[in-house]
Amino acid sequence: MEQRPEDGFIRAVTLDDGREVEGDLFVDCSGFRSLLLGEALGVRFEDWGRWLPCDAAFAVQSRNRPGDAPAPFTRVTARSAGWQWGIPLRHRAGNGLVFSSAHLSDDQVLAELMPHLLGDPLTEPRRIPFRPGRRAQAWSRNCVAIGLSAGFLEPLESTSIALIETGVARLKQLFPDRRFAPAVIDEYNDQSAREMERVRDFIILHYKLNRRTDSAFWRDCREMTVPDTLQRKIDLWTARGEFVRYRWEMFHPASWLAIYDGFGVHPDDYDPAVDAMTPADLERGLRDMRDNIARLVASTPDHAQYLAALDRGQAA
Amino acid sequence: MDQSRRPLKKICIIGGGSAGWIAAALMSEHFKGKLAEIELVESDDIGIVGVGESTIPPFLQMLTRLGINEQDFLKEVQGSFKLGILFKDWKLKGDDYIHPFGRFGVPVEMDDLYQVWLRARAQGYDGPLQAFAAASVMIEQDRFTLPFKAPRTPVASAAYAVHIDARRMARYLRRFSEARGVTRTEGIVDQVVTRPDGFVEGVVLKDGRRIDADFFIDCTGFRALLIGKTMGVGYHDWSSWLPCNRAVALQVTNPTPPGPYTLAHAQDHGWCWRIPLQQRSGVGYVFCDRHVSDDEALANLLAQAEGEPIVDPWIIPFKTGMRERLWEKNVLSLGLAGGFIEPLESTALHLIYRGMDFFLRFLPDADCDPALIAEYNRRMTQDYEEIRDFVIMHYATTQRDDNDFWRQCRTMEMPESLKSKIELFQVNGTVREGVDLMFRSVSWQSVLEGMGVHPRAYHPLIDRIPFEGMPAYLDQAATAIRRAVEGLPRHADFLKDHCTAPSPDWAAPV
Repeated sequence: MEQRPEDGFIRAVTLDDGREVEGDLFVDCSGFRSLLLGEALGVRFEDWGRWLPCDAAFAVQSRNRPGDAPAPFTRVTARSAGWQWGIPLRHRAGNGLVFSSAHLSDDQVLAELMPHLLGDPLTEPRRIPFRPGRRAQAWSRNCVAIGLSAGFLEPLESTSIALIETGVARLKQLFPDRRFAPAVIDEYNDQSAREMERVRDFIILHYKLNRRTDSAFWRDCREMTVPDTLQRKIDLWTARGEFVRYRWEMFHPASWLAIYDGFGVHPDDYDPAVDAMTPADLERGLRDMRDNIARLVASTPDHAQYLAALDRGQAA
Repeated sequence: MDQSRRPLKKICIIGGGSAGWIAAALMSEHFKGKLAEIELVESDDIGIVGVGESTIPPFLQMLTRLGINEQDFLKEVQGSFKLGILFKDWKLKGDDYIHPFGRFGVPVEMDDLYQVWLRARAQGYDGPLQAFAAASVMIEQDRFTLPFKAPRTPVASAAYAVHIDARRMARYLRRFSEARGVTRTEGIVDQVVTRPDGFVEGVVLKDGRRIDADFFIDCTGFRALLIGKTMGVGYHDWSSWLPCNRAVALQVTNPTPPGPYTLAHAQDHGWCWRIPLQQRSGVGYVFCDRHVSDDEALANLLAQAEGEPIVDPWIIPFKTGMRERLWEKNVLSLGLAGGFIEPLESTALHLIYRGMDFFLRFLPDADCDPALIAEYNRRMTQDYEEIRDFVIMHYATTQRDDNDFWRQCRTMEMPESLKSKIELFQVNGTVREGVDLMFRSVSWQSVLEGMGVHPRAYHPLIDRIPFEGMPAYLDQAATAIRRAVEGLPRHADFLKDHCTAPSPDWAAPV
């Protein structure tokens, strides 16, 4: 890779066969290596390991059991020092275990992972080390990192592809010309940083709220000091079931609600204005909502039927 | 769930005026007579500032939320319609522009008419931007209809707000609130009684009566009796960016029919407003006392104002800024007690509504959980600062060089938040939008263009659009908007048919 001496911009990259590729703008999609942004331009990595102790994963594919229809959701199961995923595709499933290498040896991880696959293993388990965090600037000079080269968060909420999409959309909105105005780059970096911090907070929440007592890992997670931005959210939720919303939030209140509720963390209090409704009205309103949902769901095809209709080109 | 909850049983509003009665109206409607009891203390002996008479479109949402019939309301408050603000002499003397409500009414690829226009301009197209904003064209032609009554026409892309008589509105909302159980108490607060933990327990009136409550809303205007004097909450002073600190206000007759816009006319040391109601106009001069005396200001205002004065002028001293915390313990400050930003973008009533909207969202129990207060203060501060920046922009981007006042505005150090926003805009017209922002792209584009701040380039991706037919398409679109507007009634005629207000006393034939 060659940088222009006058301003450090990337002029060209050279391939291993000696060919040279010049460009005005380089998009770094080189994954964890962050070849251009991190290695060549030296943009600092901001480590979030103090909140997210997992630092590696084992991934393994499995064969679907004959007759089993893939479930329409990702399965995430907490383990002694991390969590296991199961992502059902139509022809196979992806499995894996994200863990803290300080707490578990590779053998221990495999012993926890392998008995719980969604089917018989198809591949050898592959170890993927990672470091949670992000590059301090996703865009430096004439190089924009998209995807893992910009940062990494464990896939607990399946946000990697979403962050690629929003990165591309943002690049489109703030598309530069050859002058590379600093105001545009600053704005891109500010938006990216905030968005990723909000996702980070959402993932930390899953660890912070746990009530497991079976391992030091989970106890430490529960007792950790979380970022201020997240603490404010938890405080307001606890006080009154309200949501703090910052700029560039990827997850909406319904998602936060699902997690709080799933962990059994309920507010101390509710909006006093609800007292203006009679209990009977309130109950009727909730019942109607529940009944409507149940009725609609009862009339929808199941996942396998829907996929079959999709194959026939008949899905709505 | 905490079983020991202590819901607010009684809320006391100190001060009438726009803030007090908007608070009373919204709470009484929201509580539906079932939650806290509401008492408002005001005195006929204490005047109200009463110059916040121009609104922005969300004001109409407030009326809807209260279940108030808009037409009926406008009749009672001398209401007229507002499609935007006409700024005169801000960029340079003799130079005008409009900040319209609504969207640009031309469908274009990639959805941003402004960018398409920038590119057309780069190729020599010379049509004005505001020809594509229906509200601006309606202002220029003095035409009006309710945009939703013109669906599938370019007029539908306009939005509107209203001009209202502040005293009549306070009276209207007082009737509304009293009918919903709000108690009005005539009296002047003499003393505020606090508990050892700093919460306000009650107020003692001049005649010795005492009123206790769980929560207090401070609507005492600039006096800030509870939030400032009692609680001692400090004030962020923004006068280094907005140096005007006084206004003289007046009401005059309408020599010509009211136009559907607010006028903001830059003067040598500040600016004059004109807010046209059905049968009179509110006028005023916002100025800086380092440059102008009250007498000079009044003379200037009288020279500017068309129409005959119908009241004595009054002086309003102010300090631009806001409370460090709008809500402290069990005291919420609303309106001028909370902060003041000069009415250049007609945001005073809006901030009152917004302040109550958030308060009802974060309605506390008697213990006033600090997490609710912290989030309320964070959100409201965000709104105040956004408006502050938007208003500063009108001054900071001026090109006037005719005296020290304007030269100082030109060279001021802007807040960082505004500076970066303008820098981004200057690159290629990109406007940073956020979830909760009040002013959308059209507002920033209209005002910045109006002030002569142009991006250095258009957005590079616009070059994807085949451009040959674009200038002709833009011309056709502008013509379609102009024709659609030409078919509308005059503003004064529309008012007459829609919501004629009864003649007030001073307008009766002698």
